[in-house]
Amino acid sequence: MPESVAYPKPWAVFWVAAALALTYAVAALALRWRGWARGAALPPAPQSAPFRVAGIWLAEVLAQRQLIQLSWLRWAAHLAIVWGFVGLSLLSLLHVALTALAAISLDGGLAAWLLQGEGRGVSKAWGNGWGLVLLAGLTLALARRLVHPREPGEESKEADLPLVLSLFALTLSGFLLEGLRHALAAAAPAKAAALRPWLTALWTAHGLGGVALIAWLPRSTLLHALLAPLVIALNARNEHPRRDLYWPPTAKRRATGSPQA
Amino acid sequence: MATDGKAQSDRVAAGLSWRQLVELEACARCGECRGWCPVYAQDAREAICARGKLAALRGLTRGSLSEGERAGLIESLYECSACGQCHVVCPVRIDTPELWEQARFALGRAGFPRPEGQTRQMDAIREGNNSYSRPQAERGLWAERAWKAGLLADPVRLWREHPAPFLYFAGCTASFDPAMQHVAVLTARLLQEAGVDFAILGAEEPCCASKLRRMGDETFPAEAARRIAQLRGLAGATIVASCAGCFKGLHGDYARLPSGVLPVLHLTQLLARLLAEGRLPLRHRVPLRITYHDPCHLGRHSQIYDEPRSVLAAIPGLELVEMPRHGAFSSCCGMGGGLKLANEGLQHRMAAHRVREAEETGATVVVTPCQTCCIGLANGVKETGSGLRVLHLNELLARAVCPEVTSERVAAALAEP
Repeated sequence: MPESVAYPKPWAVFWVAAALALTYAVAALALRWRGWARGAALPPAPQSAPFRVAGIWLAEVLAQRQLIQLSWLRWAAHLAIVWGFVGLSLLSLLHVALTALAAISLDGGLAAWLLQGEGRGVSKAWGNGWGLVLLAGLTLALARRLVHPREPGEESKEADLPLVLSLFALTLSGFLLEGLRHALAAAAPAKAAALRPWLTALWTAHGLGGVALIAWLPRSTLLHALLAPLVIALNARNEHPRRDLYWPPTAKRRATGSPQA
Repeated sequence: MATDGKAQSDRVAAGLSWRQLVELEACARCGECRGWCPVYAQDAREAICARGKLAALRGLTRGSLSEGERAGLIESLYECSACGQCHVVCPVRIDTPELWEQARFALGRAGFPRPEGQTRQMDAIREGNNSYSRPQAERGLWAERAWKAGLLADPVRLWREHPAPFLYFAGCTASFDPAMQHVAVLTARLLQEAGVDFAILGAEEPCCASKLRRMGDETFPAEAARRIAQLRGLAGATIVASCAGCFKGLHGDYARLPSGVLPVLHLTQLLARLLAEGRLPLRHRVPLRITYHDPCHLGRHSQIYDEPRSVLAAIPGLELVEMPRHGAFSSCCGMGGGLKLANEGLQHRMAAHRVREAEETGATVVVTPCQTCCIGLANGVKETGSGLRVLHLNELLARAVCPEVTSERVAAALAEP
């Protein structure tokens, strides 16, 4: 693992953009919530079965079992994207939390250890690992769209190709940044000086790209990443006894042939 | 004008539950629903499939739908049989059939127009207590006439004279439709052969009113509450329904209302039990190659897949060949959800598609335990000119138990004098 390499990072720009994006995303979600609150209250679930509901939620959200039944390729791509996102989001949250705690000296030295010290390797390995998983998932998703191109008129107005491409570009920029950082660590001083502006530009693009994604989330199809787990849980409350829905014979289901396989 | 649009979108939103409003946004737009949708298979427009309807409803509740898009939404919402296939394949598990029915309710309440045919049928159910606009006094005539014609082993008794442990609920179609009355007669005969003590309500049998719910009528809760009160007065008798739609109404829709949980069985559940207990004598072989059509209201909506198949498996000589799409993936014949009332030609095309699927199995008969599906599939046979026969499950069982009682004999005996 290369040492931490120094190049200018426009942190102020990043934090201002992040604050604006977060404020916008929260406000947009709050507006959405106001829209949903116009609906009637839910009737109580006919039979309470919290463990069964939890089991369904784990299987359908964390393991994405329902996609295995439709197509192995879709399952692999989507699972990798979900877990890649979860892994990278957890790392970002940890970084933000530690930075904030360090500012008021409440991190117990953990921020310095993880962000600059010996723990940096762990943090980098975690980020690179989940980044690779995400990249693999996005590559599979794009490949699937090339192998099974949608027919004219088949796309909906809210097709997800722009989103998948944006995520792919964002993830790829993270790896380019990591590659350049490695190159900078090993470069001669003259070459390092030439690389630094590129690193700064790429860091800025990657950081602002991530921030833009947060702002875009409530208005994009990516919103399903937040709402689908909620809907799966809410409907499992009522429908958990349904074996045909949650535990169908997979072989039979696949034999019927998912049109999207 | 903008304020009117906002008020209307608020009224529609208030007619849905907050979970359903979240479901509109939770759609991942993957389009899995579209490949399976039996309506989309006949009318390949994005607005028809679940993804398209969800997008339009999302726009409507946000107040951003144009006039043209509103008209498209109304068309696609009512030209849907609410078969539930999109629910089964949706990776997000959006409860689409419930959403379509509730959206029809919400749109109706907000003043959106409905298809005329559906409005007429809803009026008939509310005013005349049956969907055939016939006098209620005629409802139990099938039993009297069948007994007089020697088609029954005993007379069928009225519940008010003989409060039996089982109540046979024939439903509007088997009571009034001359093409389907044999279902009621054969049900009575089979129960008699098995020694089941049962009665009927005759002229007092109400329409289950489930079609009101299917079409999103606002009065459904009140209409159903009246029927629940009536059926609760039956001293705990188990209700047996031979119609998949009535079964969903009595068993599923009523259960969502206060005090609405009633003891209800679908006929195939009772027949499977009687066969397992050895109470139905299967005296004759029925050497036929058949395929089985799962009614949406019995299968996906009520999760009854195995009992009808176990009844068929018990019939000697019968060979069952499944269609590729069966069980939870059974393709709808188009008779549900008021679709036929909104667009009859579409129902015929959907049924024709299903008939072709049945033909491809090499079977000579397609069998189903729902009189409404029988009518729907028969339309498909006419549309395709197929040689396939459409039979109710009762007819096959009767061939093994009491072959002298045929649907033709029943039709002749019950014909209007």
